Amino acid sequence: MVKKKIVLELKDVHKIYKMGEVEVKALRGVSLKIYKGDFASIMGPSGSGKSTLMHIIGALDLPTNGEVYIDKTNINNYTENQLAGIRGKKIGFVFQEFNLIQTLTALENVRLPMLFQEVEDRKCHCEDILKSVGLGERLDHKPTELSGGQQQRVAIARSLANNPDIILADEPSGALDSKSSKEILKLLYTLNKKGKTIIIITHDKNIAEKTKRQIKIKDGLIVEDKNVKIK
Amino acid sequence: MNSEKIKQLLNLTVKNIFRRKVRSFLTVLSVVIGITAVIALILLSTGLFNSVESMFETFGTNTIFVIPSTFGGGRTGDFSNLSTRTATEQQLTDRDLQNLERLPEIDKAFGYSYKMSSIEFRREEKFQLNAFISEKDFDEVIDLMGLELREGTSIQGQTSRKIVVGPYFADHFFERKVEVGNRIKVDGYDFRVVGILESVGNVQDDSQIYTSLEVGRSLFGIGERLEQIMLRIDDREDIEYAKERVERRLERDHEEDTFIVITSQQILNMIQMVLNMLTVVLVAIALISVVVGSIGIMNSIYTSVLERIKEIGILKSIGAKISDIVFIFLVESVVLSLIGGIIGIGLGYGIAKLVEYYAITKGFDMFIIVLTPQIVLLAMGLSLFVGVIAGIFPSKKASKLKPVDALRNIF
Repeated sequence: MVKKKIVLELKDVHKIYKMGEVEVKALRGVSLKIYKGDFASIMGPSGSGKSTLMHIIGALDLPTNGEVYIDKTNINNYTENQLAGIRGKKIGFVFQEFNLIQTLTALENVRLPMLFQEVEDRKCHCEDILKSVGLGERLDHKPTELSGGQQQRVAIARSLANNPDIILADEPSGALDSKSSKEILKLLYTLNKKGKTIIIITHDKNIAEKTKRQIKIKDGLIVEDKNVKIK
Repeated sequence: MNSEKIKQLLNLTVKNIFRRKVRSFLTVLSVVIGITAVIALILLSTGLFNSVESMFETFGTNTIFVIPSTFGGGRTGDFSNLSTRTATEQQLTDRDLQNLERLPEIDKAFGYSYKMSSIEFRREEKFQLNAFISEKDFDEVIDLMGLELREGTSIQGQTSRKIVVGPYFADHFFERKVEVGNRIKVDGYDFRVVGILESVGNVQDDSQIYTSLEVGRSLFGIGERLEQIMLRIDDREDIEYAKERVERRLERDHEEDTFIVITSQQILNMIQMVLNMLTVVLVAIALISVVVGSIGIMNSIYTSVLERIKEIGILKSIGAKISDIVFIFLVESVVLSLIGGIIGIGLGYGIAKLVEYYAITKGFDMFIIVLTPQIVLLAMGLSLFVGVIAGIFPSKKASKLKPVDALRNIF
């Protein structure tokens, strides 16, 4: 069997928040390996620690204890700017509320991550990315002029701008109707087939069931991690 | 940062400024007020400066003035002198004029006197300062004073009751215009107007009237006394040395410090110093409004940071570095203050030009406002400085926000 490449690894990760006098243990020793090409879901009820886990996977936050490796590099001692670099190059974010910059057009939104990483190749392939998600006709539209499904596709296009290994999607269909929701999941599935590692954070069992690897989290611990064949 | 990035981040900033039109307008307004005040005051004081300078240019730098150190030539309150000193010891007279003219450094000496006279023209009576200039030197003196005839003739060499008047006196002093050939009564004596002078740009000088010193002495009893002596120095002489010689010569006949001997350059320097001080004080006051303006910007940028916490979180999550966030908010602050600066320069210039227009209609046509590139650069530099100072703290605060904290409400 071919050994799969690990793109992200957590080793005994703990995260403790201090809320005044009270300590909240959001993660209590999570170890996890994400392989290249994974199409994984992290599912859990609210308060289970899944948002905290996403922050740490996405290099938005660092753990209180434990180690985080992205591309086999330990990022525990990274500065804020180094973490920003990791977020810009290695990870693409897709949020529930799309989180597009309202004043910018679809194309300008997609171009933003490239600008921050000062990508050498000035000629942006952003138009191609937007075309590939079916928005070739909507390049100069602002978010307010697009439907929810279209906005989420712009957000996915933005996450692809710097060609990252991992796409991290937080409830990507949470704000969408069932039709748009299906389309977005299909789009993520297509991206996975093209080689992207996809991690979906969700509380929705129906979404989780459509992923190949299903990770369940409860009370800050991973309680289940299984690979399934999707229909 | 590459140019494409700067362009796109500027685009983001400008769109944000236009999204919050009313607040941006109010913020810009606070800068406009400050810069307008600074520019208007600087322009007005330099205008005043230049008009004083051009007034003195007519005297040249080779003129020395001798004037009594106290009004009327005597020492007020010092009665002990009265018994031991004769009045002439404290007054300038023709004898002083002749003595000074004999000094080798002095090219020519002119003396003149003046008194307040009642003037009657077509049954209208008013009071005006009457200057007495010797009919022998009349043309030279008015030339030295920078005066020119607009119409008529001068009273050079004419021992008769003739008078030359200033243009304001001729055109606006009385209900009806005074013209060459008209008769006017000076302290009850009939005089004929023979000449009207060109305007020098200020009402006081333009209202003056000039009669012969010799006629004045015989008619009005102004005596031997001269109110002022003007000395023209040979161009080859050192003016400071000449001034010293004049002082020493005067001390032989008069008590020390009875007269002030001063060069035209010294007078100009004194006026400039006073104007400079005035400018510094006024601009310092105007700078307070610039400070208020910068607080206005800072307040606006802080609000902008609070409103856009989510946006900061998004930008950070897609890879924005600390410097990128600082850049976005700092540029917003600088753009607002520069817009304020540009409008402020325009408004300040407009206000100064209005004052100039008003001054000209009132006869001060030497008062000219000039907007130099230096003043524009100064104002732009000041607004840039204000923008950076006002923007640095809010943008630092924005850049230090943790991405998780900024995004918390959306995760």
